[in-house]
Amino acid sequence: MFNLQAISANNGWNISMAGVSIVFSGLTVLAILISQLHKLLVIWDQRDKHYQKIKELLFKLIKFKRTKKADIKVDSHLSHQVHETAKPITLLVGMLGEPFALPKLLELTTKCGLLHSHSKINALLKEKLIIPDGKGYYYLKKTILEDNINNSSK
Amino acid sequence: MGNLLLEFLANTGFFLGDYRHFIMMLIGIIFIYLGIAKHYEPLLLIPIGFGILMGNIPVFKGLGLAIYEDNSVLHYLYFGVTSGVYPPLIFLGIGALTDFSTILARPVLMLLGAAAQTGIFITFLGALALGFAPHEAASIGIIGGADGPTAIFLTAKLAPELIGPIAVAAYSYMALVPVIQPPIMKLLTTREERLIRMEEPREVSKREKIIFPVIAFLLCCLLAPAALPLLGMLFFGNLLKESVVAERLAQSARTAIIDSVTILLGITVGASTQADVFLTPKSIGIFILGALSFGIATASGLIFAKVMNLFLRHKINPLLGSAGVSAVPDSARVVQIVGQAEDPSNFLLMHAMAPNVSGVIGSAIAAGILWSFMT
Repeated sequence: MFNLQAISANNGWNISMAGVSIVFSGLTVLAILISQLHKLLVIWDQRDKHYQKIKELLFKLIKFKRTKKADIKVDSHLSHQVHETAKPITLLVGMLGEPFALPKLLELTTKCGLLHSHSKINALLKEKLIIPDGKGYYYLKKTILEDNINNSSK
Repeated sequence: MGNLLLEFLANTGFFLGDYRHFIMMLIGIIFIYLGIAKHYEPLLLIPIGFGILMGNIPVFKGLGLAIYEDNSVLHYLYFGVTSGVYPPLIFLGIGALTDFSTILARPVLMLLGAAAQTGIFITFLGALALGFAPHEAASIGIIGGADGPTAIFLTAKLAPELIGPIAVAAYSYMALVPVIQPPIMKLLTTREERLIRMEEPREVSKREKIIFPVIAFLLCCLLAPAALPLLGMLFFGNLLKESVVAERLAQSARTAIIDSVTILLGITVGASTQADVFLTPKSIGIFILGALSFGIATASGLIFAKVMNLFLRHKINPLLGSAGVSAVPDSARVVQIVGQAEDPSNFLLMHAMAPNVSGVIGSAIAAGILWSFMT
């Protein structure tokens, strides 16, 4: 009368197992979802506050990135002071021709009335924009200087 | 004159009827009695009981009077059952009546509603083992969901010839919840367990109640699309209720619509128990399996609640597990009565509503799953 083979023959075990599992998993997922619902609504209610926080965070991030970029710019380009110094000296070196003797450049800058010419030439030496040729003369590292001058004129 | 009188007498129900019709009439009268005198689900038992009386008046075949005759009025009304129209309309009304805040306050109690559905699948196995065809076994198993409309809906789709016995069994057991469940509840729980008090649930906001039917509908119907007619209407009805702005529609759904459909469903399901169709060994098997299914569902919920208590910090009263069957709100009411019998100051009704309404969702999902597996 009671025939277990009939269950197997009609795929009963699998249907029952799958059925119970689906009902359980469905209601479990629903229970999990609705247990978080009130928390999600609290976050939604405070969205302006959270938006402000995110905005501030983004602003800080952008500011930080900009600062970093500016630092990089200072590294790769010349500082404002060196840049200002390089402009007239490039012109004067053009008049002297390269390679040039440092005392001649110093004399010319003084004649032209360039203030603090010693310290300015020294700054260019430190920045390795005026490079010794190993024979007692010097030449200008023009590419960097010219880039800077062009950028500033733009 | 004499011949005419004899012919008339030969066409009366007294002459056409046999003992089976009178047995069914007696059952109908018992249903009406239980509904009126004992208050066991009167809104269902009175229409079904009277429907049994209507369906079992022996009539002359071919006059278009009986429910199974194509051109009869009862047959047209019965179309709502066989086509599966009435159950979703009832679910619309149930949705517009149900407050889901108890499960929103304590979602973990939903698992009890899931556990109670185990009864459906165990009975399905039992029915298969007893020689029922798979689609019949699935229809019998769903009785364990203790959800009349769901049982009718699934049976209409899978085994329409069994609607009568299955509907009557499902509604009978729903009505007999206060009789069937307490012994099982007492058998499977200790006094200490029945005395456990539940934590006060948190307050649920209006927005949660509005969002819930949408989320629940999407999740459940994406998981089991075959449950769409039932769950769609259930959650739509609930959305009408909770949204407040469609109060007129919600009001109609929870009064005029559900009442009209309940009358039509009850009468036609009752009438479908025509003696020659209903009184068969199969029907007796269905009634026995239905009772078994209901008992297993109750026990599964109780046992699962006890298992949950092994892991929970704040223990739950295992009686709540028996409310996982979806006889709303009767099984929740039984939990309250059994709990208060031990401690009159312990109020469990509100907490029991959570597994109770999740049982409605669970049984509809189970019906959808069985339907999709059988087709």
